[in-house]
Amino acid sequence: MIDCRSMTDRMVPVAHGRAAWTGEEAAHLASCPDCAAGWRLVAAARQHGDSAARRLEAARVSREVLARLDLERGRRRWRRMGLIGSLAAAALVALVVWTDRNRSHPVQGGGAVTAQLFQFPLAELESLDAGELSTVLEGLEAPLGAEATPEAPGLGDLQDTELERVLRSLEG
Amino acid sequence: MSVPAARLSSAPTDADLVRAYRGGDERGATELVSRHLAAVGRFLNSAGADAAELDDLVQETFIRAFRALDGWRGEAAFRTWLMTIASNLLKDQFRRWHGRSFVSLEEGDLAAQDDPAATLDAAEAERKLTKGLATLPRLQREVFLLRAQQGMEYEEIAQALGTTPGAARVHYHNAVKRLKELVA
Repeated sequence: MIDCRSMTDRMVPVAHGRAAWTGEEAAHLASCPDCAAGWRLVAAARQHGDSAARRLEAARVSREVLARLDLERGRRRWRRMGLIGSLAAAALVALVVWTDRNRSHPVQGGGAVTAQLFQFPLAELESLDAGELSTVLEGLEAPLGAEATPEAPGLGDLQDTELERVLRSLEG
Repeated sequence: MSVPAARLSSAPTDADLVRAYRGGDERGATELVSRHLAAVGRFLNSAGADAAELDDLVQETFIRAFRALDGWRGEAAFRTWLMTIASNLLKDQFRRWHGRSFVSLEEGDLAAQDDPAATLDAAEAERKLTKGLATLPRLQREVFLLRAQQGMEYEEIAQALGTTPGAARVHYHNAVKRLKELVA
């Protein structure tokens, strides 16, 4: 016993030449108006659009397709070259600006490097509080010879012979 | 890399032709176009492409296919892949038209046959089928065409239209049921 649904599924392979009706199927098709209508439908669908497709020329279509693809490839190449050119120009401008800036501010750059070189931490000072630090600073601000000056004898206090000895030692 | 001429002349597979084209041999593309042109044209025409735009749509289908060849890994048949692209193009076109309908059958579209009676029958069948197809939902119509017109299996249809084989089968049977009432 053949059911109409399985007949519907079989119609396409038979219509496209991939299968053939069995005797039983052929008999069913001849006696079932619904399946016969389905078969006519598949046959009509198989040929539907044939005349429109016949108007398409393979040689022309492939020529135009390839021409458009070539054109797109060419445009892509130009775009890529344009991008590379823009990048190169941007790099050149950046280089010129950088060189120019270095030439006009040479000391600033050098000063920054020098300052960086002389920034080193003093571990001994880090543990001190503000009061202790200002004491240390006051000590540093006083000239090293300031405290000794009042006690050192002035040149005016020297006797003539001592003065002559000092002058000789200075002249070598 | 190109496929040798001798191999091209002895019925290369679609995959061979794709490899040849990717390798710079344009004969691969030419052969692929001539091999699948009619199928793509018939599908687009029957699925509702405007007759005036059929040529452009067919070209666009192949251009998109060749442009994206790197994305075709050969899991699906090349024709199935073309049908996917053609279906997407139609979807875009219908969207642009905001659902505006569809095919107008011209005298030139009627099947050319020597027997006048057969010509009339074929023309009548084609006219009815065209009208019937226009009443189907888009997915149902495309499933029906890929199956009945292109002879594809449900698995291939499912791949082409992004559905499942089971759903494709249901769509097909529903389409047949509706079209039988309208056409037969």
